[in-house]
Amino acid sequence: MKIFISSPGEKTIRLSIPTRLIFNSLTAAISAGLLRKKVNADLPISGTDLRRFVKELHRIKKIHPDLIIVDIESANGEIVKIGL
Amino acid sequence: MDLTIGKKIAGLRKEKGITQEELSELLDVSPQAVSKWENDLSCPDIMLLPKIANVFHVTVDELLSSSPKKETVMLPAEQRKSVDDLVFRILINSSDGDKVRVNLPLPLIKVGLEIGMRMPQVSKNESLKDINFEELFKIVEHGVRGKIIEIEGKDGDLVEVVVE
Repeated sequence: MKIFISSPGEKTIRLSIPTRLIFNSLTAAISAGLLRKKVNADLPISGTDLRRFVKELHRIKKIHPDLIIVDIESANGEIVKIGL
Repeated sequence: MDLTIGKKIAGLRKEKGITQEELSELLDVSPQAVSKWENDLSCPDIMLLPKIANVFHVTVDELLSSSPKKETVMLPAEQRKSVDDLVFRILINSSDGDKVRVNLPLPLIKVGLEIGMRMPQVSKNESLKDINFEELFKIVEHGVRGKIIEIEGKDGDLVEVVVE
């Protein structure tokens, strides 16, 4: 996963983090628990669901290796890009 | 009218709302080089084409195609890409000048919806709350490609959903 943050007059930040470090079965289970505890106890998303989502994410990364998922450019020149 | 690659780059750059200088920085070339491409005085190096295509979120094929891109098309079954290769591009241009581009591969949205995610939860944009993605999938499965949604909010925000 690649993250790019740029603000006028500030240092540009470029982060390259292995996707599997952020999105894996363990983090999926923890995230699902946190979502239910902190956001909404009735949220239908379980650990199994998130693991399925993570698995799909890894499969998509092989098909679209350089895909930019989010690209934000604010009116004051700040840029945030998140790529797979 | 046929489009040259230079005119195509100029059109895509304006659509993205960036200057020639900004594009040159993204591509690590001089602003003069971008100017020459756009005025058909020279062509970008072949090794640069994937990078240019990536900046504008188009394929190299689309970049090299000489015909203007149609906004919405209905493709016959034999010309359709696999659903795995399709991407929903959500473009939000807010009235205060912010630009948000979200590129979501179709299979990822499908799984997200199946496990109970809803678009406003994912994107935090209320303009998307009434979009029925299940219905959009049906349209896409019937071969519709290109711009499938364009919404202009009362506060001036423009939301487009393009499938490519």
